Amino acid sequence: MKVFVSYSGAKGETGRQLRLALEANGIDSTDASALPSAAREWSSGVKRELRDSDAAVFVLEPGAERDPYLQQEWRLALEQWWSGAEKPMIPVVKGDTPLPAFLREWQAIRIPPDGDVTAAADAVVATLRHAGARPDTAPAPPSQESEAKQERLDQIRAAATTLQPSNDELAQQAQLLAERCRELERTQPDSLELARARIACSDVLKTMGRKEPALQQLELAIKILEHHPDAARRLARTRMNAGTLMQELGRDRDARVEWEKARDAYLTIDGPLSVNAMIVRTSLIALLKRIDDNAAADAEQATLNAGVQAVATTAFDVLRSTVRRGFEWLTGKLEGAGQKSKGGES
Amino acid sequence: VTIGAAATAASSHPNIDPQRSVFINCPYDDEYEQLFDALLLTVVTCGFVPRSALESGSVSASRMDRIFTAIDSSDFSIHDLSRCHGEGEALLARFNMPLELGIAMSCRRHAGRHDWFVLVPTDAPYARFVSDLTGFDLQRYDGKEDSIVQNVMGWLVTFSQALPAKPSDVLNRLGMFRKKKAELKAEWNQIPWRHLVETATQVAAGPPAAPNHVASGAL
Repeated sequence: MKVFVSYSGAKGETGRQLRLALEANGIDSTDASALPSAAREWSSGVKRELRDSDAAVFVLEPGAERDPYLQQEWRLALEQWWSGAEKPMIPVVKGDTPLPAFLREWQAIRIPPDGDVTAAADAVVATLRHAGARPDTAPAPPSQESEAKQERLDQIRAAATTLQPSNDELAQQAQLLAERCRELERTQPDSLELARARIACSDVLKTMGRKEPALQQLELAIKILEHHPDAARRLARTRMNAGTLMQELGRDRDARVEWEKARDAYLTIDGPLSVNAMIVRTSLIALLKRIDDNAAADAEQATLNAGVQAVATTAFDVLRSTVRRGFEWLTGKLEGAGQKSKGGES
Repeated sequence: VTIGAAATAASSHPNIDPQRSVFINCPYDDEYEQLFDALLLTVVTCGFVPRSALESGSVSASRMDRIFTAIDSSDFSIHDLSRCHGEGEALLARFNMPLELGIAMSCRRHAGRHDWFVLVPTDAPYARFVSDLTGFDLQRYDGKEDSIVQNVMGWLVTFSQALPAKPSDVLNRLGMFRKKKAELKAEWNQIPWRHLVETATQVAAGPPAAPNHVASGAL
């Protein structure tokens, strides 16, 4: 049995002692210390050593995660693990060094700050020979992990609410954009630049909760974009955004008109399997049902279902054709290898 | 002077712990969108708050002030330099991303904290293009979403404050994230950063999609 021992080169005494103790226990060991220092050679050397080992032992000491070489060893070990080489990973932790996240689901072997590595080496050997025989610390149970994950995601969501401009900043942005629009109206009244400024202004006004003026900006932008055939996609998106605002403001019939135009524009731009047209249709169907035009809603739903089916079939055909090409390529290689081998024998 | 100003601006987000903030430096255009989705969802799945120059809107502060604020209040940053190549007839390269990497490196040197991670294309001769970075560990990737997820996650989970995660946690939820993002796109021209992050947390907390869900997620 051979193990790869990963430890910080700068504070390597624990790692080196652990290797000696493992060797004394009859476990063959290796590390990255003898590998060439040039980045590429070093990296392929670590990959080779990890591949040729039956397990990896990670010695963790304070400050370990700031060692770029050590961090790279961890990444290479993870890469192999995620590629299917499911070999044991054994953390050996000195003192109260925190475990990196990827090792938290493994049972850690702890060494007191001033303790020697003999007991740790025995525990590593026991873990290797009788899985889980000497864990000092059990990993958190799955439900606990899941609660911790939910709590963290809630914290991120709460933090996200602060990641937007304050009301004062928004007001300032709206004022600057309005000034920009006025200037462009004077100098470039039909320009794409003015349409873009109006759309940006609309987003800011909407964030401030001022939906009516936000919609007015979009309607003005649409009038400009209608004269720019090269901005057809932007026009379709703007119609979609305007339709959403119209619906929120109770202007259902106007929203329907904008969404139908957006749907048709996406079909023209992207073709009959346009995913964007399907997205518009999804909103349109809900609106049509609400205004009791069930016949139109059913027709849209039928077209949407056919479109989804067609997209799925196309995706499956692409997958099937890729697999077939791969299979043909592999068969060709195997046949070629067979012929070479026969040629060698003759 | 500018760093001082950035420090002041950073205090406008008192609820965000820099040790759990990751600044994302990447292109924000249609061509990069698939990779951006994967990158954002990876950062959230690993338990970090994604930060960006886009988070504070568009015009009230100068772009450089917004970048300084976001980098200065994050202990981590990810820089995708894979699109720093000649574009258009004049073959001009965009220098924003190397510039932001420089700011992050300066942050580490002067503030004594900040870890950065650089992604470059598999076959680009970066040792010649940015020779000052020779000797640093730039992560090469092939421009595909599973590759960016594995590389970025492989870096983030080496830190103790990360959540344990594996690439399938992200890849199996990307379809759902894109579906929810499409709903936001129907509403916004430029989706506010806050809504993107909130959506990513909802998707990361939810169950992974079944294969047929992934297909409909493309809607």
